[in-house]
Amino acid sequence: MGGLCAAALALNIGFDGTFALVLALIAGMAGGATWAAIAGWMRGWLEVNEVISTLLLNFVAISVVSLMVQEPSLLREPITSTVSLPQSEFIAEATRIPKLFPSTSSPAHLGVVFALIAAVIVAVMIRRTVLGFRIRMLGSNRRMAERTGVRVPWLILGTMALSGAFGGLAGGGLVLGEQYRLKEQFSPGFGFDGIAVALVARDSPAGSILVAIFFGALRSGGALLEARVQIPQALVLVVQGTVIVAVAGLAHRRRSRGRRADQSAPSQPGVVEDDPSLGVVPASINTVEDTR
Amino acid sequence: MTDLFASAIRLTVPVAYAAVGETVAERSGLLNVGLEGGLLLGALGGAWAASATGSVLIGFGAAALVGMLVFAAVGLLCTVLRADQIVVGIGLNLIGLGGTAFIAATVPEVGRAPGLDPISIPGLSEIPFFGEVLFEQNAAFFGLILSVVLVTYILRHTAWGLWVRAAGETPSAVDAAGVSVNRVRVQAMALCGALVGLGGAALSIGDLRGFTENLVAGRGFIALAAVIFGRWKPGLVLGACFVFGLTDALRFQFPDWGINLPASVLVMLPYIVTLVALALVRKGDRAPAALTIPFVRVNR
Repeated sequence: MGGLCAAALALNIGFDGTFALVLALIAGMAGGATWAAIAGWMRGWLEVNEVISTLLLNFVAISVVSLMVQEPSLLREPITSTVSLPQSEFIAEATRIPKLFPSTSSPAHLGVVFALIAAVIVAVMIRRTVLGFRIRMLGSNRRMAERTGVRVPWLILGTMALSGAFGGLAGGGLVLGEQYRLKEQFSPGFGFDGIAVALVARDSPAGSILVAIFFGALRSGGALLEARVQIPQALVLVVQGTVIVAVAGLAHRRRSRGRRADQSAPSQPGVVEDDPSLGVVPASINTVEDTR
Repeated sequence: MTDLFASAIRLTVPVAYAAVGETVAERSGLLNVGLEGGLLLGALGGAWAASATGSVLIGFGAAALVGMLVFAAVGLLCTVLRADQIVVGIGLNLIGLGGTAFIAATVPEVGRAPGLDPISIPGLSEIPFFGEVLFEQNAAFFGLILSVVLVTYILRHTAWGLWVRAAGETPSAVDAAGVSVNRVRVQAMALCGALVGLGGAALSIGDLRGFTENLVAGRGFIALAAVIFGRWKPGLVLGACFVFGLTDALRFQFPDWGINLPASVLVMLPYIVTLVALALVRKGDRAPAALTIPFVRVNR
């Protein structure tokens, strides 16, 4: 959705240049934030597990992009011949994200810098601000957050929207910095790589950068493998999946032992208690709790 | 109308196997989001075995076995090693997607497999409407109905079923009764895996007659939603799957009815219906209490 909104704005705003680029990236972030906020709303108010809702929203978003580039009345480039593909027109030269090393053939663009800045912002935000503290509290003990007056559903929505904004920025970067037009399925699964990176990095922004470079290397290595020795690129997914499972499987070694993890003490029926033993991920990530 | 419902059932079958399997796993307290990967692996294993041996039966058997082994391994990770269930599931989905695409590209034979022919049950298939819809389906459908009945019976009326349900509600009680919670959960995952494997085979052998890359296309997640929608009861879960199957079938029928919507809108339909269904059904009240919580005995 980020890519879509960024492309739609860049193509329709009527003027080109850096200002249009900034607006387009903001539109991308807004698009991503809105989309993720749907899942945040479903989680915060309707207690729908966000793993499932976001996955389903992915499929819807992919179809929305397809629809946009297939319908001539929306964003499709004018059909000039039978070979014109379902894709938008090119985005004006001046509205593209500048390359980092324009004299070389390196595809690296200013987005790399955005990513580093984003990591710093997120790191500071999580560790040093009130909002960051609330987010961490929500992740490790929802009930505590409720008791201290945090409006939990709104915080969930806001956190999801924030996360979506970064995703939207990534989509905008992909369209405005690399592909220069909106295509069907323009992201070859980068969103899933993002989840994988965050999981392996154990939710550390600095670690995410390192793991992202590792996964990026895997991906471009996979493309080379396919080109040079005909080993299907799909193998990269297997490596990623194995890394994730291995990290999850080994995580328990770091947990403090013998802490109460089960509600073995007589528990009230239907009350799911927070599990302090899940070390990797915030303890109550994904446990939809009974709020009665 | 008959066409619509017959194809709805055809589209329901693979999802429903997976969803019923997931019901067992979730009732035991394991949330397994790796259904998508499991379906892919089952579909591939089934197609591979069936095309290698030429036997549909061996194909389904192999698919069930693959699913069982994979999910038992996932079960061990999530119980003994206390790995995060969601994280492992996401990993399994990646492995399933990548691994099956890799094998499908390396072993082109999996693209073609012997298929199942519809069986018409004499007498019953002559009933107007219902006969054609319900009794001219292939064996995978009848297997599904049998599985749902069996799973319902096992969960409700056998000792093991009681352990499974207890492991999902109050694992400490299972432990106090001298039964290993982790063992029950791994067994439940193995059963879930067998059913998911069958679902995969129902797709690759039963329906498409061969494996193609990512043929599951999100059905694993629809199955997950169906479990919630069906309130963790195998019969209701089956019904929920049918609702989604019907939406899926509608998009093939719309053009015939003269309703012209762009293809991408039709593709969105089942996912949107699933999302709306999830939003309408409040979670919480029926979910197994110990879902996603690893069992650890209190210090003695």
